[in-house]
Amino acid sequence: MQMQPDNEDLQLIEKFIDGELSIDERKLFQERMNDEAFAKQLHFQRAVTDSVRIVQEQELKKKFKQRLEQQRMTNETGTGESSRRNYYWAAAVLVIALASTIFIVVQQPDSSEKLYLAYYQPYPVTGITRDGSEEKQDPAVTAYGSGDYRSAAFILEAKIAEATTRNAEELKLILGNCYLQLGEQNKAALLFKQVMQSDDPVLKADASWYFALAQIRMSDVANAKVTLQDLMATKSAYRSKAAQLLDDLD
Amino acid sequence: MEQNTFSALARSLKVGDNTILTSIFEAHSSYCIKRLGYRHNCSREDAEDLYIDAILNFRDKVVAGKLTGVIDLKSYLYGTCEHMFLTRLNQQKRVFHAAYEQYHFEQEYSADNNEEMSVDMLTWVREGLSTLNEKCRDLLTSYYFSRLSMEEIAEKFNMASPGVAKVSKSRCLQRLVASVKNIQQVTNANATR
Repeated sequence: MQMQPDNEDLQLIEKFIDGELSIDERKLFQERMNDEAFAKQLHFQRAVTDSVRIVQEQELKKKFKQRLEQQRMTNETGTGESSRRNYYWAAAVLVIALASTIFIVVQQPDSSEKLYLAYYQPYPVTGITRDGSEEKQDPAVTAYGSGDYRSAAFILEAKIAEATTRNAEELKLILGNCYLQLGEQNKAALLFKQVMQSDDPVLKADASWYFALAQIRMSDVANAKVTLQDLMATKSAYRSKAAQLLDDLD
Repeated sequence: MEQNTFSALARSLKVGDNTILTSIFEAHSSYCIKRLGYRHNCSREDAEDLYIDAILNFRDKVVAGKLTGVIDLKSYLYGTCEHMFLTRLNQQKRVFHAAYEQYHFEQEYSADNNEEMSVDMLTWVREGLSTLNEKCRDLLTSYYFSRLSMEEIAEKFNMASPGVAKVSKSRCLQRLVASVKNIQQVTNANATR
């Protein structure tokens, strides 16, 4: 006899789909499968649960397709501009590398590193992603907080491309700190320099302080002094620390 | 790919954050798509589709816990693309030998077969999901798409225990099934008028 699936049947089907049937339930399930209405309900319910996954996958697929489309458009329109940009970056890196080399010869690298270690404290982060008033648990924050700077840097690099200007500045500051921790002070310095152009005085001061530390780590003491003197001329909280570091540098 | 990065990826996917996955997608797209083109004479469009499917396959394995680390991600992704390409090629060939193929009940219900899902069903489910409240929608997506365990769902939704999470998920699913059935009936009734 054919019966309409009741609530127990629906739960049995759900357990089968989720792979949670006990041995007794398995027997019952096999018996119930002789009922056409039950078999139809199974087919329908399976289709619904599979569709929940496929619908989400399709959304993701759509986003990836848009990404590829954007990449293609960027490649087509930005070739000339990007090669010019690459030239400027290469020139900037060359200048920094040259400056580093000169000062490595002139300065005692050990004393610079000691000063850097004495003054450096990682930029404090409580939350990177902000959606209105709620703060989401962010893998970048988790990685940064646990000292996994490589993973944090990896995530932040991707986030910066999508962030708003204000957010991007903050993220660059954190990414710069990751680079400092990874011993990639050149990359860190470039990021801090960008944030120093910010309209936000607090972020600007933060970036200047870390920029000076990056310069010290690169043994670029003369320029670090200039950065610290500029920082002292502001009303920021770093004034006294900057003065103290300047004294130690002298 | 470093183990830490891999763990960060798995964690982020579990909370529905696709940022790392997107950066992986962008980092290897050019290599995989171009290589499929010159090694298999694959059209750009087909290569892009294969690459997206390979990324989704990779994502699915990570959230299901079937993959816990990859040494060379670029090669892994390209390998998946190539495997998918060859499988599709074989499937196309097999169409000519369909008469020899047997019908298997399990295949009918296997997870791999659901890519053949009817467009109608997907539309009804999409519509059905929109009739649910946000929590129910999120709960079902967390279970069936992000593959969170009942423990993880209980934690994510601040529920007292995994048992409570299970009951909630069950209720949400029954609501969705009822809603989809209703949408299906209305659509079919309209079609026969």
